[in-house]
Amino acid sequence: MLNVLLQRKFVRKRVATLRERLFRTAYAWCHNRALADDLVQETSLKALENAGQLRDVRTADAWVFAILANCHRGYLRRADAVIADSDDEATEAEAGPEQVADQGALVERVRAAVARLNEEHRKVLTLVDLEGFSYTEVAEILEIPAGTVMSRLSRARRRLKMLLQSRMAESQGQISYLKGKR
Amino acid sequence: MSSLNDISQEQLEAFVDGQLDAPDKARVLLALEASETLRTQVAELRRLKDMVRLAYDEVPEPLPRPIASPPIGGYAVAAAAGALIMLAVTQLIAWNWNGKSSLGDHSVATAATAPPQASLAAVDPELVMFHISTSDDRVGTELLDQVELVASQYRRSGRALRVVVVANNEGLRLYQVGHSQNERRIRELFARYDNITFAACGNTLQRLAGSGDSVRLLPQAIVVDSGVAEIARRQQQGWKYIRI
Repeated sequence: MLNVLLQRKFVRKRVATLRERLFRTAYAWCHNRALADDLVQETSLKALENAGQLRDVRTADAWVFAILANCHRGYLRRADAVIADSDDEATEAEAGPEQVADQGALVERVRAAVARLNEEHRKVLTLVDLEGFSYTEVAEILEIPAGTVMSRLSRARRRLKMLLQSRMAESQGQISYLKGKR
Repeated sequence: MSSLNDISQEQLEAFVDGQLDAPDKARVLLALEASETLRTQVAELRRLKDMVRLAYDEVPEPLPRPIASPPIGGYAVAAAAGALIMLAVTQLIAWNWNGKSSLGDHSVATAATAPPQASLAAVDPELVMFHISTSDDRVGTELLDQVELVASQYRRSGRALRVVVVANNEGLRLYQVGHSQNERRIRELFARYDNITFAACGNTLQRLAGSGDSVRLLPQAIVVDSGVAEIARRQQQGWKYIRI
């Protein structure tokens, strides 16, 4: 009992610390601020509820991210039935005209490309590249074999590179056009 | 030099991701020394990785709220439900006392004709959740029609029912003071039925407030943490979901 209470306390703290990272990852998965926020909130609640299930505090971060991945899976399952309104903010990530400076354009380009990856690829890529999880941790988070993590990651990057290259020409034109305008 | 061909794409990526153990790392390093192509590939991978990081270096701020606190909505709803039960009990007592409802609202006439147990029926009420996310008044009206239909049918047949209307995004306008044509209707429904809860998405409220649009809600509406999370939670608890 006491143990569970302590664990709850630990998880509460850990989740608070991870909040920003969870949000970033959730955002990279769905590119929707409100939804990302909901997912993080749901994750925090579930983590607290299930604090007793955390077996090793050293793996706490991966454990919390696994809950996030679960919440997101749940969301996708429900999405058809429940949420059609997430479209409202689908364009949120796109830059306003004043933001389209070099960095802004690059950021938007990469986000757009990441958004076009398939779900599985996007998750592996973001967990490795954004959050710096090891392959083993990603395997645990997503409940897939480590070998699958590697092959998905490799495919994700190949595809990302392709997507970025195909958009390279047009956005470079865009940037130089903007530069010329200044 | 022969090791060059042994380096797979995945190994190269594992190298860039810092996932190789010492011997494998040494092998890749040696191969890199020997091959311009491999060096380019590694540089390319690093660049891609950096780009992804940069792209999400500054994501929009998460909405401010208490961290990992229990759901505000949970308590609010529980409190509201408690208040409703109290109200129902008061009503019941009032009925027993003088045979009519203590509420002065004209609409209570309908309620008084129904068996008072309807609002207190002890076992497993039907749980129905409506969801609205548009500000279209016609949709709002349709929703309230359905809510009223369900509520009145259940009341007539003396079956227990709980209804919650969850509004998020533009649907929040349904509860906005001075905005919705349905304002009076909500007040009436709320007065007439003690088993209907109007829940507003706190996320949406904050978002609107953040963009300078501070929405004043009808006092009949309670604010839950997040509309979507509320819906998900209730679905897990077996609430039937109806999207309008």
